[in-house]
Amino acid sequence: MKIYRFLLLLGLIFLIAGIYLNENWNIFINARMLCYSCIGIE
Amino acid sequence: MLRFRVFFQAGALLFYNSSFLFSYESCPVPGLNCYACPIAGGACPIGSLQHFMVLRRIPFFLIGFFLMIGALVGRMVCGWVCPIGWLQEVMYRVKTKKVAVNYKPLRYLKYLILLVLVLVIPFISGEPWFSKLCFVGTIQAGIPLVLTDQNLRGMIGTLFYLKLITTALTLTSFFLIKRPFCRFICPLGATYSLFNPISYARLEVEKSCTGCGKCRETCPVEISVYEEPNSPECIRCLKCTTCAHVNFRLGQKKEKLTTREVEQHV
Repeated sequence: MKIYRFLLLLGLIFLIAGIYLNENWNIFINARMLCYSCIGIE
Repeated sequence: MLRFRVFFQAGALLFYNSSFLFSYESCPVPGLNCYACPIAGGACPIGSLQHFMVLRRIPFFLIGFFLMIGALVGRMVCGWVCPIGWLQEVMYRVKTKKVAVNYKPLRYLKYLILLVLVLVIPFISGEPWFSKLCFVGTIQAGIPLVLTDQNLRGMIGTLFYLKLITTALTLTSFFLIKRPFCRFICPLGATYSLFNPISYARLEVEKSCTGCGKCRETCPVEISVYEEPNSPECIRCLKCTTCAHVNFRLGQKKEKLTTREVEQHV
């Protein structure tokens, strides 16, 4: 199996695991809302 | 295909900052785009990665996201759909004195930034330190929000002024050096660069190449394509394919051995 195909498959497994765990979605939303660091405020 | 690159870059900028049209803020975007920007549609992959480090959780979705993009196109994201890459290209076109930076160890700085500021320090300290220094946040979120929001204006302190200084320095370097952020600093580029040598989309140099160096002259990251066509530094902008000896292809070419080569192998 070519290495990029293996990585694609592995990536797909991780993507599905991330969606299945569901908590990731909340973290992404929280990350966006809480990003005072990006703005430059402590 | 090459002449459409600017439309891809503009389209990506619009797509990443389209919360007024539709929002997908729970999903990361492939390029570098600050999610604190008031009109950002998606999440910054590096910001999200730091956030997972701060929470000390495994970023399954992000790992899958990086693996899939990396395996398919490698650093092509930097050359085609990154707004910061586009900004650097536009600013470098301004006629000023130009500086060529060929000091090779500098290219490893981005890996150090990825490891230290994005992964290790946020994990230990609980603070996203790359975001605290990132100039993208200043131009997309810091300056517009501080100018328009009186409450935020009252909250600014040393960090904000530190970010203004790093932003000024970074933007100045864009006028002088070819893609300095992509080459020396960007942790997202560092992540994708690991996949460049094995990705599905790749560059190939024909055996008839004379090594004239034309590809190096056109290259925005100053690499010798004829020596290492799938270098981790290559952003796959495909400018070098204007030379007839450099080809873009999908998948690895199946080498056909000549009868003489077969005999030699046997």
